Amino acid sequence: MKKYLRRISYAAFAAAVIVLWHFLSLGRKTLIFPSPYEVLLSFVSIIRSDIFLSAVFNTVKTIFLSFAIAFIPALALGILSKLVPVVYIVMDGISAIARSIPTVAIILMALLLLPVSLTPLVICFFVVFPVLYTNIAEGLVSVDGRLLEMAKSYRIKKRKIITDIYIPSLRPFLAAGIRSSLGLSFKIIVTAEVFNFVNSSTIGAQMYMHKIQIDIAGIIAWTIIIVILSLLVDFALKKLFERSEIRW
Amino acid sequence: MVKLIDIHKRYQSVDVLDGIDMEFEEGMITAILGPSGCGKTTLLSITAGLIEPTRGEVLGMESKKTGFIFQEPRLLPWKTAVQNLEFVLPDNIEKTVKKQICCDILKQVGLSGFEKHYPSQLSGGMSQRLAMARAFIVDSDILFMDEPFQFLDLKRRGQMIELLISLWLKRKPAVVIVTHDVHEALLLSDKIYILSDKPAKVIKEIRNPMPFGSRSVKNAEFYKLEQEIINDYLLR
Repeated sequence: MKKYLRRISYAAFAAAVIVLWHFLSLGRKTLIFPSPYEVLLSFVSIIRSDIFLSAVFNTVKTIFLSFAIAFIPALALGILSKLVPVVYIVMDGISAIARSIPTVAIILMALLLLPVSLTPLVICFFVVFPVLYTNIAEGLVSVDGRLLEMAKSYRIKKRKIITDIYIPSLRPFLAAGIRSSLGLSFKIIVTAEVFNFVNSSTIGAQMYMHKIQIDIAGIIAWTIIIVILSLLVDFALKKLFERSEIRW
Repeated sequence: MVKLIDIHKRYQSVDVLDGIDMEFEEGMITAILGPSGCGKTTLLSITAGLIEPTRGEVLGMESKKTGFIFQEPRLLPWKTAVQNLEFVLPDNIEKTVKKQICCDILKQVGLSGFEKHYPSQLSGGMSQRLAMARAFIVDSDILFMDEPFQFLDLKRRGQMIELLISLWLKRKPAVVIVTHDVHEALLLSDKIYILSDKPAKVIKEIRNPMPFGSRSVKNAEFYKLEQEIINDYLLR
């Protein structure tokens, strides 16, 4: 019943936003303030266009590729931080600095210094890596020492301690890190693609095209597509982690 | 037999243990009794090999199978009751045999029907019974207990002591129990070491002359010994 009520309130909220949007757009020019109907038309036309699937595929591919490129060293350094305290101290400083660098600064430097085709990957790495690393390192540091002592008292093998204590303890941190960094990746990659003119078959490049044509309805339609994709990925991850969720 | 020889422990500049000598014999429950914060847990951890002494030796612990019951149950929250028990069993036991062993011990501790329950779904007393089952399932040669009934009410404490004795009588491993409760020490143990305040020293070794059946406050000898320990050593 609660779930049902929640769904109704979401739908009511969305309907209220659309109605308000519609009234605000009345009497204004499409170029400046498109109505919901015009955005819907643009949305349908984008989905029906030849470029849609390849743009979505290329962007999503880059997102997952850059995520993987950031995830592997984040995991390796997270584990190393647990084993070597100096690494933890050094990496804590590095990730804090990396987190505070403005994304636009990284984008501009990457565009100037690196091959254009590589920029989305590199930019995403610099933004996502600190988030993932911090989650993994904090997760490993916060493993309950009393459980480790219990395992030691029963002379449990190290391999079993890793699989049965470290990995389950890390799981909620990993889930939070992966979900937030993938969400972040969607934003960063699309932003980086706007600046990357080599490949026009990306969501970012498509948004840039609409910007040149001063087609706000097109930009909003693509934004809705990004939000839907991002929510779908987040939903899938949530379900994936829920399946193996622990009962505390 | 496990022997402690001249055990010293110093944390930073504080002496915690000051030359402890003890013996833990097979088939015997030994209690370490002392005031709160005197270093009993530290001594137990040194004996179990969880921490190193600053000086001194622990003899006879090599290749011994050990079990440990802590003040809190220390169960893995992401594992069910059966999985928590399986965690401490050797990997070379066949899965179906493992499960059978776990179900048997759960029955003995009164947790039949809770095999698939997670620790969060068990009460404090049930969790402690599961922790006790875990300690006894490994057929340990020596079992360490660190004030395991501290957080239980009087009724549950009595039930747990009865359960502990019934499980122990089946194989009679060496048991070392740390407590600050004289009554508990006298109910459970055959030998009691009384420790002084920090830095802890053994101030008395007492053999409990009463067999299990006669250990009760209704027994005059029990009551006399209890009062003696309290007045002569703990309130000194």
